[in-house]
Amino acid sequence: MKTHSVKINGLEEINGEVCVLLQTQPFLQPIAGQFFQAFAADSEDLLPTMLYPCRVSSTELLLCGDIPKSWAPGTDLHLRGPRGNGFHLPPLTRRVALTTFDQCHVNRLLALADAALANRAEVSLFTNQHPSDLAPEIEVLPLDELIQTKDWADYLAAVLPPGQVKTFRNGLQLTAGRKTPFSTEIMLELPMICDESSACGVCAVVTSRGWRLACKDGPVFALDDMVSEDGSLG
Amino acid sequence: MDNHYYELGLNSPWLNAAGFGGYLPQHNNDLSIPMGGFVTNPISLLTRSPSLTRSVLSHPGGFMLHSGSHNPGMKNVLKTYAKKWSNLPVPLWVHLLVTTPYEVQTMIRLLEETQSVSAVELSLPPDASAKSQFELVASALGELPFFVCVPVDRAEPAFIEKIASLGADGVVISAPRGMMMQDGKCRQGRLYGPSLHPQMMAALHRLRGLNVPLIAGCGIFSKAQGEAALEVGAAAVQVDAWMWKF
Repeated sequence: MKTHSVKINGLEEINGEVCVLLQTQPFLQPIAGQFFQAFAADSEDLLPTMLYPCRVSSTELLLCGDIPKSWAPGTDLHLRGPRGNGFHLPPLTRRVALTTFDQCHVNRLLALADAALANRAEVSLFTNQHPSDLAPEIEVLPLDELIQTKDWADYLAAVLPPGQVKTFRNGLQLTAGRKTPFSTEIMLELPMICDESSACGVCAVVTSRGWRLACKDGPVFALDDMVSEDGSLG
Repeated sequence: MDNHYYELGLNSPWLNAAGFGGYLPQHNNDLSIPMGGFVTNPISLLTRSPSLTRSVLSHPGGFMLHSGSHNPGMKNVLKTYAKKWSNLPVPLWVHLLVTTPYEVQTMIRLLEETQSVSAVELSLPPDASAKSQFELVASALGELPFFVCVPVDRAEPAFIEKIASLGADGVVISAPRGMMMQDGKCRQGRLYGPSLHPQMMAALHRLRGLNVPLIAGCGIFSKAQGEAALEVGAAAVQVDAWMWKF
C-alpha cells in the first residue's frame, strides 16, 4: 500500500478530542469507518497513530484519533491509507441510530452522521455524554433508549472496543446467531499496527466466516457476522 | 570461518524477520536497503488460530507483541503461494513453527518438493526442554539448509555450539520474550524495539569465533545499526518492526 506525505494544516478540538486538519488530496478520500496509519516525519515512534475520518469535505479532511502531543500545525505526516472496510450506509436509509456505548469517542461516528444527513436521513446518537460539536440535525438520546431503536431504525452503527460486542447485543436484547431485524454494523477500535501484507494478527477478529483481520477485512463488520465467545474479541 | 551473507546464498546481508513481511515480498517496501532474501511469516503444520490474549503493548524502548502466530497451515500456504514463490527475485526462507520432530520432518519434506525454497528457519517452542529443542533441531536435517532461531537472551555459546553440531547452517539471534501488565493481568509476548540493539551487539560479541554463521534478528532500526551488527560478526541482519515504519 502506498504512503503519502502531507502537512498538518491545523489542530481542532472536537467534542473534547484534538483532531488533525489536512488539506484534502485526491488520494485522501476516506469513507466513514476507514482508517489511516500515520507517523510524523522523522519521529522515533515504532507504532503508527491510528486516524479516523471525522469530517470529510472537498477542501478539508479532519481526522480524529489518539493524536501525539508533539503534532502541531506544519508537522509533516506520513500517511498510509485509507485502509479497511468502512461503513456501508444503505442509500435509502431514512432512520439512522449511532452509538459508541460511551466506550469509544463519538468523533469516530461523525463522518457517518454527515453521510447519513447528506442522504436526508434522520440521525439519532445514543450517549449519556454531552457532545457539543454535533450537527444540529442530530438528535441526542440517552443510552437506555437504545433498545427502542429496534422499533424504528433502518440502520444502526456502533463503535466499540474489543470485547464489547456481547454487551452491545445484550443491551439491544439481540441473540447471537439470529439475524438482526435491521442492518447493524460495528466498527471495532483495535490496534492495527502492521502493513496489511504482514498480517501480524493482533487485530484478528472471530467472525461467523472464520478469523478475519480488522486491518484488512474491517474494522467495520456486520453485527450478524460477529461471534461472541468468552475470551475472544467478539 | 568466512561469515558472509553470500555464504548463506543471500543477495545482500539484509532480510526481513519472520512475521514482518507476510508470505510474499512487497514491491513497495519503504526501506531504502536492498533486501537480499525474504523470510515468510511463521508457518505451522496445521492451521493455527490467533491467540485469545493477543495484544500489543508499548514501552519506552519498543513494544511487546503477542498474536499467537496465526497462520493457515503448511498445506494451505503452499496451495496459495507455492507457485508465486517460484518467481521471486530473492532467495526464499520459510519460517517453521514446530513442536515435534514429526512436524519438522513433514513440513521440510513438503518444502523440498516445491523446488523454490532456499532455506528453512526453525522457531523452537519456548517452554520446551533443551533436550526436546535439540531433538527438533536434529530432525530438521535434510536437503534444505536450515537456520535455528535462538532468542537473544538464550544465545549462549554452549547452546549455539550444540545446535551447530546437530547440523544447523546458522543461528538467527531473535527477539526475546517479555512480560508486561495490562489491566491487572500479566501479558507475555515478543519484544521488539531499538532497546534490544545493545543486547544483540553483546550477543554477537559473545558468540564471535564460533564456527557457525550468526544472523542478527532483532534490535535493528537503522542502516547504521545493521552495519554495526555486520561489523561485530553477523553474517546477515533481519529487520523486524522497522519494516512497518514508513
